[in-house]
Formats: sequence, C-alpha cells, structure tokens
Amino acid sequence: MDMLSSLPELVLVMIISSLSFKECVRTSVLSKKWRNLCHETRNIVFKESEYVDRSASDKKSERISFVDYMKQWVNRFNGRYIETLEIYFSLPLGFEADIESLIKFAVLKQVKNLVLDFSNPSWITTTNASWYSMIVVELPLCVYSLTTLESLKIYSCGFDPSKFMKSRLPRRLSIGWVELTDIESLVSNSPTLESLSINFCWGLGNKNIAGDIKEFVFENCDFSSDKNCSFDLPAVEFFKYSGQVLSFSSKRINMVIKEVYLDFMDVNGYDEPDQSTKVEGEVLSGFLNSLRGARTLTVCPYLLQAIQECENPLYLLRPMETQHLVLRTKLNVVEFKGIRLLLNNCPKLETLTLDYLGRNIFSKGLTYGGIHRRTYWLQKSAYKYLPNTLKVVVVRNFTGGKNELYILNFLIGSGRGRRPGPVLERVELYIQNEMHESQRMVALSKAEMLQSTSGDVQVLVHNT
Amino acid sequence: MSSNMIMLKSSDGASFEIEEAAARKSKIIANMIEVECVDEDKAIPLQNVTGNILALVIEYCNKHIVDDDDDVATEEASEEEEEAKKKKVDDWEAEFMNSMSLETMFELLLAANYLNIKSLIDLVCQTIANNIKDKTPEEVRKIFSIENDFTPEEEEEIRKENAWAFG
Repeated sequence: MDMLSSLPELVLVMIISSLSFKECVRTSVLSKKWRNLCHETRNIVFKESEYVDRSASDKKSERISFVDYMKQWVNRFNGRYIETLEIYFSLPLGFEADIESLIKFAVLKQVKNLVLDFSNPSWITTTNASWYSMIVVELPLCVYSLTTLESLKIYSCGFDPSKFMKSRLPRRLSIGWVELTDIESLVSNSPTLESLSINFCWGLGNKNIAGDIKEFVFENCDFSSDKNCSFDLPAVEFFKYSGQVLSFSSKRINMVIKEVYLDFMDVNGYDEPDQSTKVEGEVLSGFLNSLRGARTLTVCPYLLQAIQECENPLYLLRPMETQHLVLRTKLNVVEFKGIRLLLNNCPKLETLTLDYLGRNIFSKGLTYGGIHRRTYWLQKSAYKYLPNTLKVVVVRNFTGGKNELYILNFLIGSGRGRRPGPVLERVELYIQNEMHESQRMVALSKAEMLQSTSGDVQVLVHNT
Repeated sequence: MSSNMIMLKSSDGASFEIEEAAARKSKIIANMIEVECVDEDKAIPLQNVTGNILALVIEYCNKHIVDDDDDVATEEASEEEEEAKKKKVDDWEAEFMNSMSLETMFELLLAANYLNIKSLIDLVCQTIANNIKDKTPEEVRKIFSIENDFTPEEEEEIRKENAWAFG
C-alpha cells in the first residue's frame, strides 16, 4: 500500500479533519481503505445550500433526502468525539425531531464548536424574519450544560438565556435572527464568555452592554423600540457595530482596542444638515471619542458626513490612537470634511486605506457646506494637520475618478516634501479585474499619471 | 527559564543535545522530566524516531521555544511587532515544510504524534491536507500513489451516494 494510506488510522483522521467537510467526503472515493475513513472526521458540516439544488422542482423531497443523509452520516460515525458540527438548514419545519437527534449526537460526542443556523437565506433584514415570527427549533436542554462546548452559534433557533449556567457559557457565543429581549444578563458576570456577537436580532429593550468580554459585535439589529445603548467594556479588543445610529453612551472602554468597525447603514447620507443630523453628528463624534483607543479603525460614509456637524465642544473629536484608518467611502464631497477631521485626529496614523465604495449616482454635488471638491484638498493649510507618521496609502477599487485624484494628489503632495518630517513612502492602488474594459483603461491611465508625477512616493498598481 | 540541556537518542543511535525548554514542546518528554525519569547524564532513547527525522523535530522545537518565552512579554510588544513575528514564524514553517519530500513529511508526522507535539502535528496535517484540497480524486491518487482498487461500478456508487460533494 502507498505510504499515505499506510499511516495509522488515528493519524489519517487528523489529516482528513484538516480538510473542509466537502473535501473530506471526497476522499471516500480514493480507494477501499479510504471508503469509510471520512466518517471519522472531527469536523462535520451539513449545508442545505450545498446539498439541495436551488433550481430543483421538487425541493421537498430533496430536503427529506438531505435529512436522511445527515442521519445516515451520524449513524455511521465511528469516532469517539467530534470537534465541530455545523448545520445550515432553512426553517426545518417537520424535521424538528431529526434535528434534535443530530444535536444530541453532537452533545454525546462532546462537540466543541456547534453551529445551528435555521435562518432563511432569503432574509435580508430583521423585518423579514420578525414577520415570519416563528422559531422551529428550540435549543435542546442538553446543550446548555455541555461542558466541552467552546463556541456556539445559534441563528433562528430558540433559546433561553437564563438556562445557561453562568460559569458555563461557551467562550464564543453568536446569536442571530431571533427576538432577543435580554442580553444584559448574558454579558454581565459570565467569566467564561470572551466573544459575543448579536446579529439580526430584534425586540431588544434595555441595552446596557457591560462585561469583561474581548469581542463584541452588534450587527444589523432592529432597535426601533428603544434607542438607548450604553457600553461598559473595559477589556474589549474587537468592537463592531453596524446598524442604526442609536443614543450611544459609554462608561469604560478599553484604551487599547485592536480593531473597531463602525457602519451606519445609510450609505446615501442626506442632502442638507438639519437638527436631527446635527444631533447624530454629536452622538457619533462622542462615540468615536470613547473608542479612540482603536489601533485599527474602520468607518463608513454616513459617519464621515455626520461627524463634521458636531459643534458641541463636549463631543468634538479628540486625538486617537489609531495607526490604521480604513475609510469605507464614496469619496463624495459631503464626506471630505469628515475625512480631514479624522486624518487630523490620528496623530499616530501609519496606514490609510480608502475602500472606495463607488460613486453615489444620485449625488452630482460639487460643493457642500461651503467647500468645493476641487479646491478643498488644494488648501496648503491642510498639510499642517496631516499626521507626519503616515507611510502608506492604500486605495481599494481605484477607478481614477476625479474625487479619488483630488485626495491622492493631496496625499502624494505630502510625500513630495511639502512639509517637514517623515513622509509618505508609497501609494498602492488596487484595480478590480471585473471592471468594464473601458473603465479599466481609464483607471490604469490615471494610475500611470499619478506614477509620473509622484516623485519619491512609490505608486504601485495591483490588479485584483 | 533554565537552559538545562537534555540528550535525546534516535532509534539508529544518533545522539542530540537539546535545550530543556525546546524538548518540553513534546508532551511525552515534558512528562518524563516532570516525573524525574531523566537522568542528567543519560540520553532519552526514542525508539520510534530515526536520526534524520529527530533532527527535523529538534529544528522545529528550537524555532518555537522563543515564541513561548515571548508570550509572557507580549503585553509590551505592539500589535505590529506581534504580527511581524507571526509572519516570520509562518514563513519559516512554510519554508521548513516546503523543503521536505512527502515521505519525510509522513515520517515527521508519525514522530510528532509519538512525541505528542500538538503544533507540529497540526502543521504537518495541514500541509498534507493542502496537497489534497482543490484536486480531483484522480490527481490526489497520483500525488500520493494511491492505487484505486474500486471497480468503476463501486466508484460510481460512492459518488452517487455523496453526489453533493462531487458536483
């Protein structure tokens, strides 16, 4: 027999467990020795989308066949324990008992990572799910007390936070697509919980997030009932919020956060500031201040437009610790002041990434709030506040558009020694391969133009 | 940390001197040290590992003690330094694995398993797995010289049973 197949079974199981589940199943066809080996893999992933043909006419019978496949797999499993079981099965109505027996199998095999995702892939917002308002599967009792569990992800799966033994919460918990009324009790006083992620949930009233967790994610939840949200996260290292602008307040936030990601969904922004946008500007500016320990900070177009409106000295942006600033931006003139405001308040900035989201087709604005897009970046005074630690500028989705060039010329100018101190070393432009040929040519020619005028600043072009 | 030296002896009689901290990467050896089975003057005999493989294991362990020591001091290190360090280790591991034949890789995996060095087991398993993934079964058989002892009908049967994975 060949050398690989002659390895002890225990070792072969370790090898196939390093493969994706699909790749692992594919090894069953290699030779007789491999025929049943895959049934010992420690990482099992059942995905309806992989199994059921989306265009199939008779989905019902395909779903039955999918359930049979899962059951058969589990019956054939002959290992002692498993590391991972992941089930992705949209609204398994009529299969509740089967699902429960699969989960019980995982518990019996002392699973470490359990993913139960019963959400419907066609759901886009919480409205879709809350309208449906039905939980097919409830988390079986045996899971709450499973001591081997390290990470648990439950999407569209009913559960009762109070049933978790405080000291036994898994290290990583991710909850999604359910009505969630209480998270306070989950976060506080759970010494084992390190990472909590709440995605597409609704019904949350009181949002006092306080605890010693290291990772916290709020993603696209619906908070229409109550907009108050406070954070007390002195140990947080990764913080992500996406969704509506709330009345954020914070007590203690770690001053050394590895990464902060903020995305206030409304990408089109607003035409004219008014009283409510002004208030939001203050809230967001103040919120940024409390997160100023972020080493890597990612922000969105809405934040860039809104923070410039803050006039309240209490909330004005203060210098941040950020070394890598990622601007997800439409590079619209309405964002320009916000961009400069952030640059001026990152005195330790080393890398600036402009993640260009494309032009806003509805906005043809050349001016906003008293500035003109062409002249704004030409003001000499702008250099005075640009951090002199900035070494690298990265542009994702470079298209060679005017607004991109205004800013890049300004940044490259800083590298031409227009100001004292260390200077910009290089600019990296990423051009997408999928772009229309004529647009690609424009992007490439503009990139060449930048190269020819950049002096000591290196301009690199990458195709992605 | 003490820099006691320990002697290891391969199945073919070659002796190697290794720092205790590096040797402790092996749970088996660490256990021996704990229960004081290690005589300062005597080499630990490793019956299942040949000299050329043991040399590789020691190279790996030596490369990785430094990181463990640093773990204590990470609070001081900036994120960037940490990242750079991690990349350096990753690059070293890639180079280390790249330099050996499949045959050596298998022997190294057996040795790592015998000595119970978790991170080395993971590294070798992942490298072998990388040789399997994204390839057709025919290609995998060729790479590892696996003889297909199925009849075409039997093979078809398995493919049908797991059609989703072969789509």
